[in-house]
Amino acid sequence: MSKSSSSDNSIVNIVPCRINHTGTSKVTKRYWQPRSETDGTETAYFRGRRLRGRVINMPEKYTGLVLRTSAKTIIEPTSPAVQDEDEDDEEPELPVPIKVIEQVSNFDKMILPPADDTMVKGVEEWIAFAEAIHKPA
Amino acid sequence: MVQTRSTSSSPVKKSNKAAAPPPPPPSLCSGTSATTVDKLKTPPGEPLQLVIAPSNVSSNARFISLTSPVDATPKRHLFCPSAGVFELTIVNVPKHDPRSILFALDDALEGTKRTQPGAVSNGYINKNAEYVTATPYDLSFTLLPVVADSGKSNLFQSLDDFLDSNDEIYDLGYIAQKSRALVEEAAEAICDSLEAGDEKMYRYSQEKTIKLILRKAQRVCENGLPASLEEKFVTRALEAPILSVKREESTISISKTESQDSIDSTDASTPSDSFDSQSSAASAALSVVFSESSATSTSTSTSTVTTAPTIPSDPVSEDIKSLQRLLIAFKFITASYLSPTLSKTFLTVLQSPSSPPSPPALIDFTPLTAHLTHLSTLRAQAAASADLSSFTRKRGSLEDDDEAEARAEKKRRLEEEEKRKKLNTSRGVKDLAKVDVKRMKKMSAFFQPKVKAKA
Repeated sequence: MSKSSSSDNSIVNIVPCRINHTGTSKVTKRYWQPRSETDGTETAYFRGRRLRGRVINMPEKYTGLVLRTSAKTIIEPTSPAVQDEDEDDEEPELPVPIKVIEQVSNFDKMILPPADDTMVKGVEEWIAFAEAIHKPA
Repeated sequence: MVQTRSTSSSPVKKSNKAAAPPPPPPSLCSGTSATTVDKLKTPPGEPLQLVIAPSNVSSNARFISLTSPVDATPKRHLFCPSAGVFELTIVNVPKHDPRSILFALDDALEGTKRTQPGAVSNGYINKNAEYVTATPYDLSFTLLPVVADSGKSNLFQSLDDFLDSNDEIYDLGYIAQKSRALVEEAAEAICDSLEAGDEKMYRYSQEKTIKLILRKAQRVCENGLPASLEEKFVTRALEAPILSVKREESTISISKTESQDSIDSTDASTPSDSFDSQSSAASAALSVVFSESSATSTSTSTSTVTTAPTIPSDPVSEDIKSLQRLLIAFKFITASYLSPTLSKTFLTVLQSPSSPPSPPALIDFTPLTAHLTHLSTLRAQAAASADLSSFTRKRGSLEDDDEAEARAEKKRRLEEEEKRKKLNTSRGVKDLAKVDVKRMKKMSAFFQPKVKAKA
């Protein structure tokens, strides 16, 4: 995984519908403009529907990364002594080209539908819970 | 719920489509529209991965496979030579509740800098909404099956011997090579160690391992269980439901009065039930909670948890609650990170009244056990009397438990199906269903030959 130097910062909106498309898309102010409400929620209009969302900030000491598998590969220089037991990500042969994963953007907050339990819990409950379990005693 | 079926009419992408050479036929929409404008030079339709990771993960980090300690399948982890190993958990939503991700510019930063063309913040769509959390992972869990399984467990072995003797360790060797201290530390936590010359030797210690897990469970409790777990397995399990909706359609009977003054539990945590059903219940629920893709998530669970409306009666004492919390945390850890056999052994050791390995360190669960057995006997009595009073039922009360469970399961599945069906019916159909058709002509009336007009 290589971190690119670009400090692109995006907001992740999780919209409560299936957009049957994956890929670039110009999100213009005209069509997507979430507004903050007084009660801390965000409201946006998408194809005439009112969508309400709440902002979830990343927990302390965590960042959100947007990653993409790049076409680049690197070859890990392996010392001969360890070759016999070094197994790698993609294939067992050595030396192994390793796929580089680029970071294309990052995010500090997500906007989720307010009722979205699972995804909210993933950030708000699971991370702290997992830390409590796994932190060395 | 907004259902967006066709991409072509989405306003967000209109600008894109203008640049697209031929307007794709509607049937091919999903495939072709992704190839239209490709400033990012990504292969068409490649979803971006969202990872929520600790900030200190360096760019040297790599995704590696480690053996899952539960079922010995390879599982992806993130390994950073300086920050350690991280567990990856996919968080997504159920299929019938679709979500997509829309990447957009952070408003707060917009004025300050222009993003370069092609940046993700200019707009990107992921059809399926999911993200991955990278949370710290204790390597001891991965190491545990390696050291515990090595038959000659009363011999001290070096770390390399352990790793060599096991073929199925995937990238554990890689970690050992890159940051040996990490693996050594993990081994130290679950093994007795011995300095032999310049090399450290290890021997698996069950006592040490149980203490380690117990320590983890205690820390979880200190931080407080996640709200959803607390609700489901502590509050609900220990408080008395009123038995109006007990299991099947059991009619109101003597059991009601009986259970009102007592504390009856939904059986999420009756110790008299086998451990297996319990831990699977725990993991099933957890996989709902966190959407973990765990293998056990589909296994059957005792399902009364969801049906009985609970009305709190006597407050349960704080001691018992905290014991229950600890037990649940312990069970969660064992169910998520240990093989079924190991976790079973550990639980028996933990709960056995006279646990031999150094009693002061282990917890005395007797008050909780007593409380829960008390509850379960009461519940059994209630169930028995409910059986007697229901006339429609003919089967004996002995074999009833299993059957009732099966039926509850079936019922729950039916309910779920119905719910899903409801979600899938279109608004038009739903609206039409409400129309009063009483005074309308039957559809067939329009297709009959008009005999009267001729006559």
